[in-house]
Amino acid sequence: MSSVNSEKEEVEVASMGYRISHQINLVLITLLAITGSMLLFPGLMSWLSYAVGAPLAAFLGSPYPVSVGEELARTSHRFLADVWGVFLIVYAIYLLVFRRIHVFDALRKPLGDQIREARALADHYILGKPLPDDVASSLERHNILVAYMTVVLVVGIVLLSASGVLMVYSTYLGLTEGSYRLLLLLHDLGFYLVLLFIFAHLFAVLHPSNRPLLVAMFSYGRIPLEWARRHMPRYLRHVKGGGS
Amino acid sequence: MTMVAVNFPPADQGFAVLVDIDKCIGCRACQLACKDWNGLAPVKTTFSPTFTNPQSFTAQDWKVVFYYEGTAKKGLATPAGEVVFEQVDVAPLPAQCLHCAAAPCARACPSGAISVTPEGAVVINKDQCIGCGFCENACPYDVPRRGSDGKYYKCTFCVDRIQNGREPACVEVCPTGVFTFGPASQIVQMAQSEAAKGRTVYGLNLNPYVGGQVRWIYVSSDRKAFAIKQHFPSDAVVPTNEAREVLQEIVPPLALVGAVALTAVGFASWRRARIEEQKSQQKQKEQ
Repeated sequence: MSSVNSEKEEVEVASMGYRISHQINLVLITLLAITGSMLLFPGLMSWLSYAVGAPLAAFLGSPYPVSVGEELARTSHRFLADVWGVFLIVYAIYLLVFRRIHVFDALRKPLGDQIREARALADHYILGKPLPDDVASSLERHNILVAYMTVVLVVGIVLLSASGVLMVYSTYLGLTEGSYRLLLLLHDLGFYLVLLFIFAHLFAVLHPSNRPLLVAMFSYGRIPLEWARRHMPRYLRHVKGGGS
Repeated sequence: MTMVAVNFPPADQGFAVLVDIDKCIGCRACQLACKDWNGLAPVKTTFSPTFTNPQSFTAQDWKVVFYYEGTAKKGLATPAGEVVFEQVDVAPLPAQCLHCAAAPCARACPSGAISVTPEGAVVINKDQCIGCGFCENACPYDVPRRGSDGKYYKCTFCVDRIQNGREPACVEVCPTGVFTFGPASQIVQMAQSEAAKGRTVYGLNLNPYVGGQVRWIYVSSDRKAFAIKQHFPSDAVVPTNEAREVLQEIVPPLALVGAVALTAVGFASWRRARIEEQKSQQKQKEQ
């Protein structure tokens, strides 16, 4: 998957498949978050419901554009969630079968090292301090903060998808009103966890010191070799050694 | 200003009803009057262990008389003195939407389909309803019901009648005067005086989740108080929905503050790193 191009002094960090998957995730999660927020925060999002619903309301002759907008949000939320669910299942199978999951590699480190790395990274990204040499030399492709935030993302997605599917089929499954209420709360909590991940992810990728990664993800997937030596030396050693 | 805001009139304004279940004989005239006035279709019913029929509210049954069985203490005067004994009794309880002072269903509705009129009636506009079921999820009294068209229905407090100077249909038809309809301030005073007499009252001093009060207030003597205790939840709240509402209040401002803070921190850290980089480059040049 990843390879070093010594002539161009670059290394691949995001393959074509990885980038396409990321873009699909990005689009679907954004649309799902927006349509979900229209239902979760109607007071804040009613302007969007109005804007989205007004053209169709005019076409249908309905005097309630907000209701039409909410209806569109609700039906498209379910449809998009189905699409995302199918995509995630296929992608998860691919990652598991071809052993492509490396985002949790940093979790294999001893707990003491994890805490030290997390502190050093926080100091670097929040206070602008340089990374200590021993921490910098042991950085994986995905650092310890990324690994833990991914755990948060996975928990959030599991909560969202499980509660969402159960709620859609609650009538067929014969779920009680109490169970439905609990599922709705869990769906909200799942969304807030994903929101937490999105905030941390956006902070990291929009951080000026990570600019090469952002450029790589939205262009041809490669980062300068010099930057990789400083930010993910351990990963670079794997790549040079022929690993993925 | 939001397009789906709900304005709740103060609990002492608008109208309310005092329901004295001691007077109820379970004739179901109110149940029929409700169906008649609102043009609700008949629903195929089933047998059940009690007289309650249908078993609960449906999209076509906004008012249902529930029958409860319980024991009540009774006194019997005998030549040897009063003998107090327990006896099994059946108590009918006419129920419908209680029209909460701060209706959680109206707060939960994302399309603004549930409005509260100045009379205090909590009303679903079916043309605005998108059938999401958030009202059903939020209601501690399990009132709104989904119809065959996917929309939700419940008692309207006969607001169309009230606005034309008439009492709700069920109130008007009751042969034994179970219901006392009037201005909310008056009805609340009546309920308070009933409570002072030692009668069981349900509908005042409730959880803030429903606004602390409902507009259909129930009273009974000890003999039929078991019906009130069996029918209404001891705490008028849906804990999961209350938790959702708390999170809905705190997450948006928290997210905004977080976004601004992270942007500021990221920019400051980048600026600091850049200054240090420039310093080190200058040092290298000087050397």
